[in-house]
Amino acid sequence: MKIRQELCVGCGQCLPYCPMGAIERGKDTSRINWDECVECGICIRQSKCPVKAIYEPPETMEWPRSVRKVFSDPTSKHENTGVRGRGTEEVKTNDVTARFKRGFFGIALEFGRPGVGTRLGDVEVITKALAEEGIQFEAANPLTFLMEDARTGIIKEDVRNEKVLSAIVEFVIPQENLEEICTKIFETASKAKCIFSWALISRFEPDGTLPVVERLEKIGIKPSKNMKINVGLGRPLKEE
Amino acid sequence: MTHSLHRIGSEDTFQDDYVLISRPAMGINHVGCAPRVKRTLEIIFEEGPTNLGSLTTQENLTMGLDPQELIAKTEDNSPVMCCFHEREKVVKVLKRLKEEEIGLSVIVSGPIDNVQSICKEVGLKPHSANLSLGFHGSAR
Repeated sequence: MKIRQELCVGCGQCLPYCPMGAIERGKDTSRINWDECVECGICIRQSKCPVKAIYEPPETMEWPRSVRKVFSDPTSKHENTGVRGRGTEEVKTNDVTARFKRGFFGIALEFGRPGVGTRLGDVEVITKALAEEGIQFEAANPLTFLMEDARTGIIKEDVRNEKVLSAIVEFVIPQENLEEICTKIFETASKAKCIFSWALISRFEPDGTLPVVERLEKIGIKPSKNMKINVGLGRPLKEE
Repeated sequence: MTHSLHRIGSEDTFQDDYVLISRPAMGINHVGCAPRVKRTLEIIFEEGPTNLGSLTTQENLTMGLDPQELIAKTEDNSPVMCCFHEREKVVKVLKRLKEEEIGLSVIVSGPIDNVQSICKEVGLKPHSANLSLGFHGSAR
Protein backbone atom coordinates (compact mmCIF):
# COMPACT_ATOMS: atom_id res chain seq x y z
CA MET A 1 0.00 0.00 0.00
CA LYS A 2 1.08 3.57 -0.57
CA ILE A 3 -0.21 7.01 0.26
CA ARG A 4 -0.48 9.64 -2.48
CA GLN A 5 1.60 12.45 -1.05
CA GLU A 6 -0.13 15.06 -3.20
CA LEU A 7 -3.49 14.13 -1.64
CA CYS A 8 -2.59 13.27 1.97
CA VAL A 9 -3.58 15.97 4.47
CA GLY A 10 -1.58 14.42 7.31
CA CYS A 11 -4.58 13.93 9.57
CA GLY A 12 -3.18 10.65 10.91
CA GLN A 13 -6.59 8.97 10.93
CA CYS A 14 -5.15 5.87 9.22
CA LEU A 15 -2.31 5.28 11.72
CA PRO A 16 -4.17 3.22 14.36
CA TYR A 17 -5.61 0.86 11.75
CA CYS A 18 -2.27 -0.57 10.61
CA PRO A 19 -1.64 -3.84 12.52
CA MET A 20 2.08 -3.57 11.75
CA GLY A 21 2.44 0.08 12.80
CA ALA A 22 3.89 0.69 9.35
CA ILE A 23 2.27 4.08 8.71
CA GLU A 24 4.61 6.89 9.67
CA ARG A 25 3.41 10.44 10.27
CA GLY A 26 5.62 13.16 8.85
CA LYS A 27 5.44 16.92 9.22
CA ASP A 28 2.66 17.41 6.67
CA THR A 29 1.78 13.96 5.37
CA SER A 30 1.84 10.29 6.34
CA ARG A 31 3.79 7.57 4.52
CA ILE A 32 3.70 3.79 4.58
CA ASN A 33 6.96 2.00 5.30
CA TRP A 34 7.15 -0.16 2.16
CA ASP A 35 9.38 -2.80 3.78
CA GLU A 36 7.19 -3.21 6.87
CA CYS A 37 3.81 -3.13 5.08
CA VAL A 38 2.31 -6.64 4.78
CA GLU A 39 -0.34 -5.58 2.23
CA CYS A 40 -3.25 -6.60 4.45
CA GLY A 41 -5.38 -3.74 3.05
CA ILE A 42 -6.92 -2.85 6.40
CA CYS A 43 -5.91 0.81 5.95
CA ILE A 44 -7.92 1.07 2.74
CA ARG A 45 -10.92 -0.91 3.97
CA GLN A 46 -11.27 0.44 7.49
CA SER A 47 -9.65 3.82 8.01
CA LYS A 48 -11.97 5.72 5.61
CA CYS A 49 -9.29 8.17 4.45
CA PRO A 50 -11.08 11.53 4.03
CA VAL A 51 -9.20 12.30 0.80
CA LYS A 52 -8.84 8.71 -0.51
CA ALA A 53 -5.05 9.01 -0.55
CA ILE A 54 -4.32 5.35 0.24
CA TYR A 55 -3.98 3.10 -2.79
CA GLU A 56 -2.62 -0.24 -3.92
CA PRO A 57 0.10 0.29 -6.53
CA PRO A 58 0.55 -2.25 -9.37
CA GLU A 59 3.87 -3.49 -7.90
CA THR A 60 1.93 -4.94 -4.94
CA MET A 61 0.98 -7.84 -7.18
CA GLU A 62 4.44 -8.37 -8.68
CA TRP A 63 6.37 -11.46 -7.60
CA PRO A 64 7.65 -11.92 -4.91
CA ARG A 65 5.90 -8.97 -3.22
CA SER A 66 2.56 -10.51 -4.18
CA VAL A 67 2.89 -13.20 -1.50
CA ARG A 68 2.42 -10.52 1.17
CA LYS A 69 -1.15 -9.86 0.13
CA VAL A 70 -1.90 -13.56 -0.30
CA PHE A 71 -0.85 -14.30 3.27
CA SER A 72 -2.15 -11.11 4.89
CA ASP A 73 -5.39 -10.09 3.21
CA PRO A 74 -8.25 -12.58 3.66
CA THR A 75 -10.14 -10.90 0.82
CA SER A 76 -7.34 -11.46 -1.73
CA LYS A 77 -7.12 -13.92 -4.59
CA HIS A 78 -4.32 -16.46 -4.48
CA GLU A 79 -3.00 -17.01 -7.99
CA ASN A 80 0.65 -17.11 -6.92
CA THR A 81 0.51 -19.88 -4.35
CA GLY A 82 -2.04 -22.03 -6.12
CA VAL A 83 -3.88 -22.52 -2.82
CA ARG A 84 -6.69 -20.44 -1.33
CA GLY A 85 -6.19 -18.86 2.10
CA ARG A 86 -3.29 -19.00 4.57
CA GLY A 87 -4.09 -22.54 5.58
CA THR A 88 -6.53 -25.37 5.13
CA GLU A 89 -10.08 -25.58 6.45
CA GLU A 90 -8.47 -27.54 9.33
CA VAL A 91 -10.97 -28.51 12.05
CA LYS A 92 -13.74 -26.36 10.55
CA THR A 93 -14.90 -29.04 8.11
CA ASN A 94 -13.27 -32.12 9.61
CA ASP A 95 -16.66 -33.83 10.05
CA VAL A 96 -16.93 -33.89 6.25
CA THR A 97 -13.29 -34.04 5.08
CA ALA A 98 -11.81 -36.39 7.72
CA ARG A 99 -8.53 -34.54 7.25
CA PHE A 100 -7.69 -35.55 10.83
CA LYS A 101 -8.63 -39.18 11.43
CA ARG A 102 -8.72 -41.21 14.61
CA GLY A 103 -5.21 -42.27 15.55
CA PHE A 104 -3.72 -39.03 14.24
CA PHE A 105 -3.34 -35.45 15.44
CA GLY A 106 -3.14 -32.29 13.37
CA ILE A 107 -0.67 -29.60 14.41
CA ALA A 108 -0.64 -25.98 13.25
CA LEU A 109 1.98 -23.37 14.09
CA GLU A 110 0.96 -19.83 13.18
CA PHE A 111 3.89 -17.42 12.88
CA GLY A 112 3.48 -13.68 13.27
CA ARG A 113 0.27 -13.63 15.27
CA PRO A 114 -0.62 -11.98 17.48
CA GLY A 115 0.26 -8.62 16.08
CA VAL A 116 3.88 -8.68 14.92
CA GLY A 117 3.94 -10.31 11.49
CA THR A 118 6.75 -12.51 10.22
CA ARG A 119 9.34 -12.68 7.45
CA LEU A 120 8.68 -15.90 5.57
CA GLY A 121 12.29 -17.02 6.09
CA ASP A 122 11.84 -16.83 9.87
CA VAL A 123 9.63 -19.94 9.92
CA GLU A 124 12.62 -22.07 8.84
CA VAL A 125 13.91 -22.46 12.40
CA ILE A 126 10.93 -24.68 13.04
CA THR A 127 10.27 -26.15 9.59
CA LYS A 128 13.86 -27.39 9.18
CA ALA A 129 13.79 -29.00 12.63
CA LEU A 130 10.48 -30.67 11.87
CA ALA A 131 11.68 -31.85 8.47
CA GLU A 132 14.61 -33.55 10.21
CA GLU A 133 12.04 -35.48 12.23
CA GLY A 134 10.47 -36.72 9.00
CA ILE A 135 7.40 -34.47 9.18
CA GLN A 136 5.44 -34.21 5.93
CA PHE A 137 4.01 -30.72 5.60
CA GLU A 138 0.41 -30.27 4.48
CA ALA A 139 0.46 -30.12 0.66
CA ALA A 140 -2.67 -27.95 0.53
CA ASN A 141 -1.08 -25.21 2.65
CA PRO A 142 0.36 -22.20 0.75
CA LEU A 143 3.52 -22.10 2.90
CA THR A 144 4.42 -25.62 1.80
CA PHE A 145 4.10 -24.35 -1.79
CA LEU A 146 6.78 -21.75 -0.99
CA MET A 147 9.32 -24.31 0.27
CA GLU A 148 12.32 -25.03 -1.94
CA ASP A 149 11.93 -28.64 -0.93
CA ALA A 150 9.20 -29.76 1.47
CA ARG A 151 11.50 -32.58 2.64
CA THR A 152 13.96 -30.03 4.08
CA GLY A 153 11.58 -27.27 5.18
CA ILE A 154 13.74 -24.64 3.45
CA ILE A 155 11.88 -21.58 2.14
CA LYS A 156 12.52 -20.38 -1.44
CA GLU A 157 15.22 -17.71 -1.59
CA ASP A 158 13.17 -15.11 -3.47
CA VAL A 159 10.38 -14.97 -0.84
CA ARG A 160 12.45 -15.29 2.33
CA ASN A 161 12.45 -11.58 3.17
CA GLU A 162 8.80 -10.97 2.34
CA LYS A 163 6.88 -9.87 5.44
CA VAL A 164 3.37 -11.23 6.01
CA LEU A 165 0.73 -10.84 8.71
CA SER A 166 1.01 -14.53 9.49
CA ALA A 167 2.07 -17.85 7.99
CA ILE A 168 0.80 -21.23 9.11
CA VAL A 169 2.79 -24.48 9.19
CA GLU A 170 0.45 -27.48 9.12
CA PHE A 171 1.04 -31.21 9.37
CA VAL A 172 -0.42 -34.45 10.69
CA ILE A 173 1.32 -36.89 13.06
CA PRO A 174 0.48 -40.41 14.19
CA GLN A 175 -0.78 -40.18 17.76
CA GLU A 176 2.10 -42.27 19.10
CA ASN A 177 4.52 -39.50 18.04
CA LEU A 178 2.78 -36.80 20.11
CA GLU A 179 5.29 -36.48 22.94
CA GLU A 180 8.34 -36.66 20.65
CA ILE A 181 7.12 -33.99 18.22
CA CYS A 182 5.74 -31.64 20.88
CA THR A 183 9.00 -31.85 22.81
CA LYS A 184 10.91 -31.06 19.61
CA ILE A 185 8.74 -27.99 18.98
CA PHE A 186 9.13 -26.92 22.60
CA GLU A 187 12.93 -27.24 22.41
CA THR A 188 13.19 -25.43 19.08
CA ALA A 189 10.82 -22.62 20.07
CA SER A 190 13.50 -20.76 22.00
CA LYS A 191 15.45 -20.29 18.75
CA ALA A 192 12.51 -18.81 16.86
CA LYS A 193 13.08 -15.27 15.63
CA CYS A 194 9.37 -14.56 15.61
CA ILE A 195 6.37 -15.14 17.82
CA PHE A 196 4.17 -18.12 16.98
CA SER A 197 1.05 -19.71 18.37
CA TRP A 198 0.48 -23.42 18.14
CA ALA A 199 -2.54 -25.66 18.19
CA LEU A 200 -3.44 -29.33 18.03
CA ILE A 201 -6.46 -30.97 16.44
CA SER A 202 -7.89 -34.20 17.81
CA ARG A 203 -10.97 -36.29 17.22
CA PHE A 204 -13.19 -36.81 20.26
CA GLU A 205 -13.31 -40.41 21.46
CA PRO A 206 -16.64 -42.21 20.99
CA ASP A 207 -17.37 -41.56 24.69
CA GLY A 208 -16.90 -37.81 24.18
CA THR A 209 -13.54 -37.52 25.94
CA LEU A 210 -10.28 -35.96 24.75
CA PRO A 211 -7.45 -38.12 26.16
CA VAL A 212 -4.86 -35.97 24.40
CA VAL A 213 -5.32 -33.28 27.08
CA GLU A 214 -3.91 -35.56 29.79
CA ARG A 215 -1.03 -36.66 27.54
CA LEU A 216 -0.10 -33.03 26.86
CA GLU A 217 -0.26 -32.12 30.54
CA LYS A 218 2.12 -34.98 31.36
CA ILE A 219 4.81 -33.34 29.20
CA GLY A 220 4.17 -29.90 30.69
CA ILE A 221 1.82 -28.46 28.05
CA LYS A 222 -1.46 -27.13 29.40
CA PRO A 223 -4.05 -26.55 26.67
CA SER A 224 -6.35 -23.55 27.02
CA LYS A 225 -9.88 -24.21 28.24
CA ASN A 226 -11.01 -22.24 25.20
CA MET A 227 -11.29 -24.71 22.33
CA LYS A 228 -12.63 -24.66 18.80
CA ILE A 229 -15.14 -27.46 18.51
CA ASN A 230 -16.51 -28.98 15.31
CA VAL A 231 -19.98 -29.90 16.54
CA GLY A 232 -20.60 -32.54 13.86
CA LEU A 233 -23.37 -30.90 11.83
CA GLY A 234 -21.67 -31.25 8.41
CA ARG A 235 -23.09 -33.70 5.88
CA PRO A 236 -22.20 -36.19 4.53
CA LEU A 237 -20.60 -37.10 7.85
CA LYS A 238 -17.28 -38.90 7.46
CA GLU A 239 -16.77 -41.26 10.33
CA GLU A 240 -13.30 -42.72 9.90
CA MET B 1 -7.90 -10.33 20.10
CA THR B 2 -9.17 -11.23 16.66
CA HIS B 3 -8.73 -14.98 16.75
CA SER B 4 -11.27 -17.75 17.06
CA LEU B 5 -8.97 -20.07 19.02
CA HIS B 6 -6.10 -18.38 20.82
CA ARG B 7 -7.36 -16.13 23.60
CA ILE B 8 -5.50 -13.95 26.06
CA GLY B 9 -6.79 -13.37 29.57
CA SER B 10 -8.26 -15.38 32.40
CA GLU B 11 -10.94 -17.98 31.73
CA ASP B 12 -13.45 -15.77 33.52
CA THR B 13 -13.15 -13.17 30.80
CA PHE B 14 -14.44 -15.44 28.04
CA GLN B 15 -17.01 -17.53 29.90
CA ASP B 16 -19.85 -16.24 27.72
CA ASP B 17 -17.88 -15.50 24.60
CA TYR B 18 -18.64 -17.78 21.67
CA VAL B 19 -17.39 -17.66 18.08
CA LEU B 20 -19.54 -19.56 15.58
CA ILE B 21 -18.26 -20.35 12.11
CA SER B 22 -20.12 -22.30 9.44
CA ARG B 23 -18.87 -23.24 6.01
CA PRO B 24 -19.02 -25.94 3.37
CA ALA B 25 -16.04 -28.19 2.65
CA MET B 26 -14.56 -27.03 -0.64
CA GLY B 27 -14.60 -29.81 -3.20
CA ILE B 28 -16.96 -31.99 -1.17
CA ASN B 29 -20.25 -30.27 -0.44
CA HIS B 30 -19.80 -26.67 -1.59
CA VAL B 31 -21.36 -26.83 -5.07
CA GLY B 32 -24.87 -25.42 -4.96
CA CYS B 33 -24.79 -24.77 -1.20
CA ALA B 34 -25.50 -21.00 -1.37
CA PRO B 35 -29.16 -21.48 -0.32
CA ARG B 36 -27.98 -23.36 2.78
CA VAL B 37 -25.46 -20.64 3.61
CA LYS B 38 -28.23 -18.05 3.19
CA ARG B 39 -30.55 -20.00 5.48
CA THR B 40 -27.78 -20.27 8.07
CA LEU B 41 -27.36 -16.49 7.94
CA GLU B 42 -31.12 -15.94 8.26
CA ILE B 43 -31.25 -18.14 11.38
CA ILE B 44 -28.28 -16.37 12.93
CA PHE B 45 -29.66 -12.91 12.20
CA GLU B 46 -33.03 -13.92 13.68
CA GLU B 47 -31.34 -14.98 16.92
CA GLY B 48 -29.22 -11.82 17.07
CA PRO B 49 -25.43 -12.21 17.07
CA THR B 50 -23.22 -9.78 18.98
CA ASN B 51 -21.33 -9.26 15.71
CA LEU B 52 -21.04 -10.88 12.29
CA GLY B 53 -18.32 -10.21 9.73
CA SER B 54 -18.33 -10.79 6.01
CA LEU B 55 -15.50 -11.22 3.52
CA THR B 56 -18.09 -10.72 0.79
CA THR B 57 -19.14 -7.20 1.75
CA GLN B 58 -15.99 -6.54 3.83
CA GLU B 59 -18.14 -5.18 6.64
CA ASN B 60 -19.46 -6.29 9.99
CA LEU B 61 -22.58 -5.53 11.99
CA THR B 62 -20.91 -2.87 14.11
CA MET B 63 -19.87 -1.08 10.89
CA GLY B 64 -23.44 -1.15 9.62
CA LEU B 65 -23.52 -4.37 7.58
CA ASP B 66 -26.95 -4.82 5.98
CA PRO B 67 -28.11 -8.42 6.62
CA GLN B 68 -30.36 -8.52 3.55
CA GLU B 69 -27.61 -7.19 1.31
CA LEU B 70 -25.20 -9.79 2.63
CA ILE B 71 -27.70 -12.63 2.18
CA ALA B 72 -28.36 -11.48 -1.40
CA LYS B 73 -24.63 -11.54 -2.22
CA THR B 74 -23.94 -14.93 -0.62
CA GLU B 75 -22.21 -17.51 -2.83
CA ASP B 76 -21.36 -21.21 -2.53
CA ASN B 77 -17.97 -20.52 -0.92
CA SER B 78 -19.07 -17.78 1.50
CA PRO B 79 -18.09 -18.64 5.08
CA VAL B 80 -20.31 -17.50 7.96
CA MET B 81 -18.43 -15.93 10.89
CA CYS B 82 -20.10 -14.43 13.94
CA CYS B 83 -19.95 -14.22 17.72
CA PHE B 84 -22.44 -14.41 20.58
CA HIS B 85 -22.32 -13.43 24.21
CA GLU B 86 -25.38 -15.41 25.27
CA ARG B 87 -25.27 -19.19 25.67
CA GLU B 88 -28.98 -19.54 24.94
CA LYS B 89 -28.64 -17.92 21.53
CA VAL B 90 -25.95 -20.43 20.55
CA VAL B 91 -28.25 -23.25 21.69
CA LYS B 92 -31.12 -21.89 19.59
CA VAL B 93 -28.99 -21.45 16.46
CA LEU B 94 -27.58 -24.97 16.68
CA LYS B 95 -31.01 -26.48 17.35
CA ARG B 96 -32.46 -24.81 14.29
CA LEU B 97 -29.51 -25.76 12.06
CA LYS B 98 -29.91 -29.36 13.23
CA GLU B 99 -33.70 -29.46 12.87
CA GLU B 100 -33.58 -27.99 9.37
CA GLU B 101 -30.74 -30.37 8.40
CA ILE B 102 -28.71 -27.57 6.83
CA GLY B 103 -25.68 -29.87 6.56
CA LEU B 104 -22.88 -27.30 6.56
CA SER B 105 -20.03 -27.79 9.02
CA VAL B 106 -20.26 -25.68 12.17
CA ILE B 107 -17.62 -24.92 14.73
CA VAL B 108 -18.21 -23.24 18.06
CA SER B 109 -15.22 -21.74 19.85
CA GLY B 110 -15.58 -21.23 23.57
CA PRO B 111 -14.84 -22.78 26.98
CA ILE B 112 -14.82 -26.53 26.41
CA ASP B 113 -17.14 -27.34 29.32
CA ASN B 114 -19.69 -24.80 28.07
CA VAL B 115 -19.54 -25.98 24.46
CA GLN B 116 -19.92 -29.63 25.48
CA SER B 117 -22.87 -28.68 27.66
CA ILE B 118 -24.45 -26.82 24.72
CA CYS B 119 -23.91 -29.83 22.42
CA LYS B 120 -25.52 -32.12 24.97
CA GLU B 121 -28.54 -29.85 25.27
CA VAL B 122 -28.92 -29.68 21.48
CA GLY B 123 -28.34 -33.41 21.01
CA LEU B 124 -25.06 -33.11 19.12
CA LYS B 125 -21.99 -35.32 19.35
CA PRO B 126 -18.87 -33.11 19.09
CA HIS B 127 -16.66 -34.39 16.29
CA SER B 128 -13.21 -32.79 16.66
CA ALA B 129 -11.45 -30.19 18.75
CA ASN B 130 -8.75 -27.65 18.02
CA LEU B 131 -6.74 -26.99 21.19
CA SER B 132 -4.68 -23.86 21.77
CA LEU B 133 -1.25 -24.80 23.16
CA GLY B 134 -0.09 -21.22 23.71
CA PHE B 135 2.59 -18.92 22.34
CA HIS B 136 6.34 -19.15 21.83
CA GLY B 137 9.17 -17.27 20.23
CA SER B 138 10.23 -13.67 20.07
CA ALA B 139 7.93 -10.69 19.55
CA ARG B 140 10.80 -8.34 18.64
